[in-house]
Amino acid sequence: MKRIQVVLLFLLVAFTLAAPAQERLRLATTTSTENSGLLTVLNPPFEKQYGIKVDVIAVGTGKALRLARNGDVDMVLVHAPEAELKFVNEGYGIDRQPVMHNDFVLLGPPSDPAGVRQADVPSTAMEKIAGSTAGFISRGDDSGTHKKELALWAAAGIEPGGGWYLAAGQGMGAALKISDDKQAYTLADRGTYLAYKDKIDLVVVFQGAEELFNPYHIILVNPGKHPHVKHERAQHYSDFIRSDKGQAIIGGFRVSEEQLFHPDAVQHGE
Amino acid sequence: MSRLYELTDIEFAYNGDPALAFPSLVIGSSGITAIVGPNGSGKSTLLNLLAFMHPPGRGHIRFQAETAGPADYPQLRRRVGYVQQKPYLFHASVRKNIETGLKFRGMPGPERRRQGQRIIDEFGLGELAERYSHDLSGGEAQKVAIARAMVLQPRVLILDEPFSHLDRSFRRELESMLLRINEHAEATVIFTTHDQMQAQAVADQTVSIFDGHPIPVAMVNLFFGHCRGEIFDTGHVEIHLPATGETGTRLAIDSNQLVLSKQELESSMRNRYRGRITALSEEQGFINVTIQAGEMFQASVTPAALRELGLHIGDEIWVSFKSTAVHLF
Amino acid sequence: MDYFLQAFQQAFALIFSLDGEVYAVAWTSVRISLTAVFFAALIGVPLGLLVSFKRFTGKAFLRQILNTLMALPTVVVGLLLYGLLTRQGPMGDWGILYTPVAIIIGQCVLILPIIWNLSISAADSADPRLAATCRALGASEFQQGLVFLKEVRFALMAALVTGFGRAIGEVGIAMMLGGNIEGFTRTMTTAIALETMKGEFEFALALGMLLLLVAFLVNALLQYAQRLDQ
Repeated sequence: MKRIQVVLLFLLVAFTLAAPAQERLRLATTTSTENSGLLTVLNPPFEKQYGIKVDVIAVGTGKALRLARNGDVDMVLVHAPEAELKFVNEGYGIDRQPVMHNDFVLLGPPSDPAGVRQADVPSTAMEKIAGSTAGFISRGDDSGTHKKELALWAAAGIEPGGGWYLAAGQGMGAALKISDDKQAYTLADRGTYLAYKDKIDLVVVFQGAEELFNPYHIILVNPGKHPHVKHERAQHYSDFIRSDKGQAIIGGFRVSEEQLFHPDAVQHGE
Repeated sequence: MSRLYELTDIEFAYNGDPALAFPSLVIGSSGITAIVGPNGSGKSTLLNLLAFMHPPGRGHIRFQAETAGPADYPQLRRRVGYVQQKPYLFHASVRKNIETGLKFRGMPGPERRRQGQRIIDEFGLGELAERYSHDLSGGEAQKVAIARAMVLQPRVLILDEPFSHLDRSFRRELESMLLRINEHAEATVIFTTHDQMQAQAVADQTVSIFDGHPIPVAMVNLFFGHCRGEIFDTGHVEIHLPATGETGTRLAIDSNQLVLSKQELESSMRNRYRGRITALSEEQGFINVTIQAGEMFQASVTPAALRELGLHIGDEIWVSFKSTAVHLF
Repeated sequence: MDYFLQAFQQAFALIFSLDGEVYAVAWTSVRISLTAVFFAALIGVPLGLLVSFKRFTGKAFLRQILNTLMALPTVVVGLLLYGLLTRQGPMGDWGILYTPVAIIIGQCVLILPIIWNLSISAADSADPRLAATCRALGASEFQQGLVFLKEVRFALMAALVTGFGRAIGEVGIAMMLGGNIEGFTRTMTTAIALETMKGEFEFALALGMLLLLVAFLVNALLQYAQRLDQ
């Protein structure tokens, strides 16, 4: 009996430690991308076609770029243009290409006490929110969404602060819950909003302006800096998601029957 | 008499506290030796040295005419069977307990089981063999522990206080077991006890130990007190000492040096006490008489003398002895 | 109350739906944590016996250190090992970051102090006559160690179970070193963290219940194996 137990234990250990035979490609991306579920429909056709598994590591934008900088992943798919450019300019990333964009929406209580619905441009919308009694909940966590929000305030010439402005310092989900509790305005990416739509009372009060677009780029880790990265495979992935086939998958992806991502890649055949 | 153990100038200390000092000790290569002393006298310490559990702080031990160096100890331990006071049995069946030592010696399974069975039969442990060790009574556990040591066929069997914590019937059984082991298994037997009578009942040789030192007398009629000139005061009785000027805080009198009489004796014996008999017991053809006379005295008399005096429990009696019969130390 | 009711319903649904993905995640958790316990025990138990048997200066201090390390935050272990396992780190060439092996190493580091420390306590709890009994029966130091393992197996099993509990319930290391890669390094705890982040609180709580159930089953299995051993 004892011997059987020992054998079983060793089998378990061997099984766990056995190196995975399959070739793996590593993509660092933001949590919101992963959470949207897009990659679970986008990656399998690629994996099937090229016989390689894509490991998706979903973290914050800053951390995703940090992992790429350290050479722990082969490529990144993120939406933080400034940080991306810095990353590329410092020589860590190469071949930065647009893939798609989604957009941000301004959410608020259905009664819209600040009258944001009447605004026609984002700066007007922000002006109306500033100083309103309902208040505004900021992510306050240096995320892509937070940066976008700060850019919107800056464009409207407003220095956010004061009693109406509250920094949550947490993720999108938490920020949404807080906004819902306080019936305050907030900025959210459409994907997360759709995921939370049924759980909160907030509604979209402003959307559609180009300033609210959130572009995604794919960047390959520079094999010059990190010779071990699977550059060629990463290139295949980049080509695939920007091909007609990949772009069609992105454009056809639906959450709650709404399109979330809009293909941005310059058309080029596979 | 050939010698199994020869100890010279042995000293041992626990964390700097001297526990044992034996200028010399010889234990014969056959027979049964009892080490007698009260609790805390150093008996177990001495036994540990004899079992080669650890080397002495100073001095030499010769075993089977070889001088034992610390490097030899693991090897020497394999020639000694050591049964601790209230022996520890492993969490396993009696049979597995008995086979453990054989396993340590790397004996293959089938041979181990054969040897184990042999000792189980020899010790009449058949019914207990598959029992879980912790379900055994104290006496049964003692027996299993002895069997566990004897299956290794040691040259000497050492037991620490084997008779304490046993009820009377088990004590008798253990006595005959030790005699049998000594005779048939050709193992020297050494055991400790705080009971002089127990020692005399079984042992061929008795070593008395007190406060870490060997003492020349048997461990009965031992009194504590202090010297005042030629008087030793125990707090209850005063005992006359020989005029040698020696002093000490302990005093012992050999049990066969005590003279019993119905009336006070007119004699040169300066120590005379009146008391009452509180117990009578037989031990190896002699009668032990316990007398309360301020202190408890133990006298050893022949059955004939007992009949002659017509002694009964509760009788009034005089105890007398010479001042030269006392050992002061 | 709807919240808990929903979570319970989902937990039941999860368990009985035979959803391959959920079971795969549970299985990943179990085998990673059991393997971590295996190696932590391989190192920690002998060290525990050694520390218990030997007298040396600094023993009390070592115990204090181990007691302190038992409170090691998982994220700190994750960060330390990330520094070693990243491509930039000294062991970057192994390429094991974001694989189950990395999580195993991390959890092993996490629970080693626990298993080591509790093994010392287990060996210390052995009957004081045990060591002398072994020596008297002619055991070598190694054989004595084996006997101790057997005699204090209940206390040792408690040490392993405690270690397993800490390993399977931790999230910081699995997230930091495993990367929560679906179908590869996603464990029950990283899945719970992910669902929480997505706002799927009920589903996350259901996963939490499943985790407890799995932990309960593994513990029951260990208990059963132990009983067979007697």
